[in-house]
Amino acid sequence: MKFVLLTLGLLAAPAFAEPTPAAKGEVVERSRVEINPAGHAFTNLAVDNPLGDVRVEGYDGNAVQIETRKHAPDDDTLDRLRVSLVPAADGSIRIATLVDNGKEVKHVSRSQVRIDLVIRAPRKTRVDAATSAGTLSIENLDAGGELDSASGSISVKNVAGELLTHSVSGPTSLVQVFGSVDAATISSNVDLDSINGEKLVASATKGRIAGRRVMSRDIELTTTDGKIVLEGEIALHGRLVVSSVHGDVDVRLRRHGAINVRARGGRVDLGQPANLIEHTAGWTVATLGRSSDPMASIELMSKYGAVSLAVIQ
Amino acid sequence: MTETALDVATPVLAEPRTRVSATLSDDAQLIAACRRGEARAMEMLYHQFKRRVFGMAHRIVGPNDAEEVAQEVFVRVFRGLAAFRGDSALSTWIYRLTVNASLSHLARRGRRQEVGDETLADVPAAPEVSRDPGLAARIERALAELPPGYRAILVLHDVEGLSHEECAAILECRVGTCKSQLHKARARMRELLGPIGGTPQ
Amino acid sequence: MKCEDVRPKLTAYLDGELEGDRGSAVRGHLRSCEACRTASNDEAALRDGLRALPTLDAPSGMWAKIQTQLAVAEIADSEKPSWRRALARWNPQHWVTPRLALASGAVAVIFCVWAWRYSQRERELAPQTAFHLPQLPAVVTPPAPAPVTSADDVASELAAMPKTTSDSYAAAVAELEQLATGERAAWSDSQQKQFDAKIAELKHDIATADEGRPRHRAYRTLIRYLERATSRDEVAFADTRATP
Repeated sequence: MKFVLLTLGLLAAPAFAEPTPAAKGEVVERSRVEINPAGHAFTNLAVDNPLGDVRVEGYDGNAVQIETRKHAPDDDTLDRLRVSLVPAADGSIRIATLVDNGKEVKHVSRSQVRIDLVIRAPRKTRVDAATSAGTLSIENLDAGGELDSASGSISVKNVAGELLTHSVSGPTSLVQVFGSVDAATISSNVDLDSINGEKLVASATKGRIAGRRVMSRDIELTTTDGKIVLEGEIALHGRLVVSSVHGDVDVRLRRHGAINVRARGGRVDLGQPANLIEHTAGWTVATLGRSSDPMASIELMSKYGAVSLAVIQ
Repeated sequence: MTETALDVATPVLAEPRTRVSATLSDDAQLIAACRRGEARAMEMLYHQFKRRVFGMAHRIVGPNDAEEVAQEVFVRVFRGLAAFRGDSALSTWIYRLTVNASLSHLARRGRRQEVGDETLADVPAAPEVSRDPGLAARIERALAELPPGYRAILVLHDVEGLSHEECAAILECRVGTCKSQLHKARARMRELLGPIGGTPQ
Repeated sequence: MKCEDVRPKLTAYLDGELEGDRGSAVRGHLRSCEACRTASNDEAALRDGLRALPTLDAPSGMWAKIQTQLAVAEIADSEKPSWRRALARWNPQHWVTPRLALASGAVAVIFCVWAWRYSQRERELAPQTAFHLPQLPAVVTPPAPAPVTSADDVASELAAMPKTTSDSYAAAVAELEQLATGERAAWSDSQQKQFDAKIAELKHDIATADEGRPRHRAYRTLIRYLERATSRDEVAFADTRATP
């Protein structure tokens, strides 16, 4: 059966040993380097690649393995593409991509060259990385870091530690993050899935924020125009502040203790019957649960959008 | 602090650092590996073409449907590799599939959703690429208003930078036809855009 | 050359297809003819604009979805009687859409396929060889980038990037400030004063920061402040993060 053959093929598949085939009229070069620490382990990886993608994966080992793929229209231009590597005695490595000026002035535009980096690093490495239009993704790391992109997407999966991400127009996706998070974009969306930690702050000036399985203790989500949808749990004594100017706010939470809710919006719907609802100065205020229980505080605001809250115990 | 340029240091790599220019035989090796179902080869092919396939689909059918169309293209690519006879370059074949899938998708979807798509108006121009961010947005909007045939040729030649010959191979027409279509498409774009103001030659 | 001769040749000229004297004839005409030069500039600007459209990145989850669809199609294939499969081989473009309902057994099989493909990927990245960077490698500095010579070289494009990003941030600030102008009507006088003072202070931080990361950071602080003020009427400044 074709299907069975496919499975067998996968089981037996050798690593594809040929170099990356190029698009027509393009020259590609691939190289791999491994750096082993002398003495203490690597703690910090700084990567600056404005010429392409960056991918960092944590793994159980001591060395940092770097695979670089360079694309250029011809050999001369390929020679101009450099990857610089600076290991320091304190356990940090800085990797940067750059372009020399050629011997003769032969100009190429940025769209014609590319350097992609795929890096494997020990799990405990903190990653500070920046791309421009390339994708930036990190996975399976335990020491957090700072990720910066202009228009490339930022993607984080299974990372612990303090995480800071910012982008101008790149979509940001954080999945399985254990630790405090601060994510900001200007004109694209923030997607959060399974976030747990002390603090979560996210802002999308002109985008949407969507969160599911969010359980951080202190949460702040802000947009200007985009909708905010949040599903998760509110911690005992937790704090949740969600605000937007024009976007709708739609929150669904599980609670374990009591919560005090203040909400204000174009339209407010607090769902289930609460112990006490009163309207003061434009705010709808309610308390859910027994006031003797640990009390969490929730504030939901949208100047012109609809606000809704559904709570499950 | 010592500094090392990866290329200048003297690494001893088991695989020789090879510089690869695209030739039909390289295509053939990749195709053969994909036909054998080698996961790494398939993933490599995907990564090699994903930007162009997605970019073309995006600019022809719009942001909402681009992913769906791009997925459809790749599924057709992998399923159709068995029948690919290699009489054109792999890229030509893949881009042809992309253009055809995009145009059929548009035909199926109907014209009602194309023009004045609000979501397209929200497409932000990547600031560091276009010198005039406003211009990029206007161009994207104008592209969306072109008849699909003109849109396709403009995307292939002017946006993706493919040659006349390659465009003709992808669209399965003569080079002359290709050039005149391009000429008409640009004229229509200029009408839609109005004065642009350009950098003096 | 007369204008009516030049206009139809402009496209070919700009595409670089007019060789030798035909190209220089057009060039000569453009030098002296304002109208044709404008037409040529417009044409060139359109071309530049199209070429400079942002490169779009494929969504990160797309490969996984493609693999699912392929796996589903494989299963559908294997469930077809052999004569239909033979037929499909003659017409390989005909494929089963994933929207067809799956037999529950097929779901389990997909997971197996998935797991194998992903475990393959794990093994692949082990490099063929490891080499140990000597403790203190020879000091080799990549040559310092030469000064920018022309506007359209990648080196100069790279150099211009921090400023372009700052400009994007500045545009966002301008929009938020305009939004604030509307929202502040509801604030008290002291709130408005507090707001104005803070804005001035944060703008000063931006102006005095070095271009590049420091300035971008300062912009983001101001943007966060403006977001809070406009969406929550909160003019008290709160630094949500310790400065990284």
